[in-house]
Amino acid sequence: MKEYTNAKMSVRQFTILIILASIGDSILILPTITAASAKQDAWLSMVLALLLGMAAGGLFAAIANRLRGESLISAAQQRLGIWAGSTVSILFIIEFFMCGLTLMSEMGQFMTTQLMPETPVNAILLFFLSVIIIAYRYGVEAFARMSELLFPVFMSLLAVLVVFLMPQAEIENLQPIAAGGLGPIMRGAFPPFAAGFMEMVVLLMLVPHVAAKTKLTRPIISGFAIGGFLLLVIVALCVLVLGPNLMETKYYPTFVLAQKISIGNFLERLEAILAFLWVITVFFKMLLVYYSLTSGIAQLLRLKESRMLTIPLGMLLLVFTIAGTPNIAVYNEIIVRDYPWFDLSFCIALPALFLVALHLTRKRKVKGG
Amino acid sequence: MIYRITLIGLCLLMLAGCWSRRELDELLVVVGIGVDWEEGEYLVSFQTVNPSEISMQKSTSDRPPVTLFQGRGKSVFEAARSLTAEAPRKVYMGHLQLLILSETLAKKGINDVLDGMLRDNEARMDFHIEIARGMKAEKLLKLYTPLEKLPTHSMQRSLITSEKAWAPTVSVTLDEVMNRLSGEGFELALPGIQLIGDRALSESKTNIEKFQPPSRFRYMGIAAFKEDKMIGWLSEKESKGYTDITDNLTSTSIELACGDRKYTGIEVISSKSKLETKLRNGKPEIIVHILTEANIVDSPCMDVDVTDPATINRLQEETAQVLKSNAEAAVRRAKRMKSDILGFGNKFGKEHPGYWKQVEDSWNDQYFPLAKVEFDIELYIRKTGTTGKSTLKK
Repeated sequence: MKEYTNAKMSVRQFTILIILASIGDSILILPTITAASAKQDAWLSMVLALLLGMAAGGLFAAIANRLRGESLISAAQQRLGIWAGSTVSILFIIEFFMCGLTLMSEMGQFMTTQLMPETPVNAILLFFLSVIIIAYRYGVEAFARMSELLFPVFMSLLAVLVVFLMPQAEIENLQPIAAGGLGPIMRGAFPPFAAGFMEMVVLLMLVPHVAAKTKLTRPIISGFAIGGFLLLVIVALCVLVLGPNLMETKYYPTFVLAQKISIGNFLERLEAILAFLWVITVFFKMLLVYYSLTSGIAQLLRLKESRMLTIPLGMLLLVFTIAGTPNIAVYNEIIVRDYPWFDLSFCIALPALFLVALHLTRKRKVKGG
Repeated sequence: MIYRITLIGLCLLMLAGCWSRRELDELLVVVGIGVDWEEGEYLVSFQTVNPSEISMQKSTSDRPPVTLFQGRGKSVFEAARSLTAEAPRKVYMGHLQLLILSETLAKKGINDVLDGMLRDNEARMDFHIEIARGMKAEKLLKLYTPLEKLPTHSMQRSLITSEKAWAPTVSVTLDEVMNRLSGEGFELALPGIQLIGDRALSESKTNIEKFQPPSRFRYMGIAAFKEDKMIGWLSEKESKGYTDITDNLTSTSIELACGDRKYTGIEVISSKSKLETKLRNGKPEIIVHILTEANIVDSPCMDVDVTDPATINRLQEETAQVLKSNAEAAVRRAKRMKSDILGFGNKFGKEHPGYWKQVEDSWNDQYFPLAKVEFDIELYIRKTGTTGKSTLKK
């Protein structure tokens, strides 16, 4: 089991990974999904999602602190016994796999709809996966450093987007505030809560690699807060610049935002450069999910090394992505209607049960002494 | 060894470039589209650039700067594809600047055309949309224009300039059209464009060989819509009122009669408008606040003493009256057409969402025509040009 525990990342790198991954694919699809129910109150939905997200962060932090330097899956097996532990592990692995599918599908759909309509989606997914697999094979240490390196790039691109669009922001677009009551806002908050925060359960697989002497509560909570805040900024910018109608109609409002940048008739057409924003975040989220999936299976089956799993798992993901989401309508129905509930059961209910179980087993041990 | 070969192979793969790359010589760059509705079919005209003709190096050939390709079809897309039977390359929409719809099409409804535009991944949302007034859209795309080689470029520049300097024009881009058509309480209004002069000469190069081109385009009036169907043209006065109320007015000129066929010229240099909505006893009431600054640019009458503050006060009042009557004309017309092109309903939706929920379905037909509209116009004349009192002998 050496392979899993040797590599170390700093607390700072851990936080950055959480920030990038919590923004993940949400930066692309979230504004449109949220606006579909909350309209001009989409930003309020995001605030609500952020608050809920902090609670989820608290839950994950509580588990992380009780893992004693083990990963989620190896801890489950050690503390809950072989049967219960394996069942929990398999459920988590299913979640990782499904999450990976949605991300892959998201990436493929965005690229083929908006940027390269004539390129077969398989080709795009194949390249995307190859990069993920290569990054995985370089190991945790390498991609943690990579995140530290790309974080300033991400932040400066985001700053470009925000600053250059400020002149076009119209406060009037926010009106009327909460006219439809709390219902639509709450409905609008659910998908961002699921995609932005619940799915971050993958961070529990990184716990053994974090070189932290103290508890992990601080990096997790601050990572969630920063990531959530940046998402809030993007959603608010969409409402302010595009208005709720356009935001709801277009699949990728963030891309439209980038298209709208026009400074003095010469600083224009920056969308392809700004597309790097979400390429970075989707990449890191997918990488964490893929890491959790692969190392999780390796730990479940007590394999000596996980590299041999990388390519077969990649092939599985590729095939399932194409088979599972044959068109964009199917994908959207899954992601809007069903997926948040799936996330809720696998990323919140399951970890909560797991936390209770951890607590009980410790008590029993203390009693049995 | 295998590792090396794979590595070299991968590098070669990268060198192959993009999957669907298209170089400049394979693109048919569309700058303007005209859509007509004829005999139950769309006639779509694509104005495409002849790159060699607009290049910086002096061109030697006699080809026009743009070429028009046309296709017919049940949908715009079908029409676009059918023209590949004539055109040597496939169209590229990334540089589209202007979409001209014919009046007949506008009266039939424009949603079908716009939906396709909105879905297209190449077309951006920043091109302008106009209505060809009383003529076919294709005619406008077959015009030799002076100064600018690309006719659409010329039209677009003219639209943007005149929007800023001349009251009765507005420029509208796809994203605004889209917002108006999907939002509530704000009906669409698009600028109208027309060929004036000797239309027969527009297509020949002799058009630009004269000092004054015999055939020219001109922006004329604003087309008012109800939902996606055009229902009428605003007159120049109404158009002025429309741009002022909707805060599209920047600068324009206003003439005040001061004697026999003599006018004091006022240049509006900035104008801001704001709508205030009220509910009085459950009845909608709108107050249009307009804050305008102006200069005097012409004062041919002896009895108008622009150095006298009292005269300035009087001129301010008179100018405000003109603005008010323009705005009233626009409101009257909109009410008569039962189409809220001024966005009053939208404002109610924002400020009185509860009330709006009850009336939104019948706003245009029932509540808007009866809504009380008041004007509060503040106008300040700041300067009188570089001279004081005119010393020219009258």
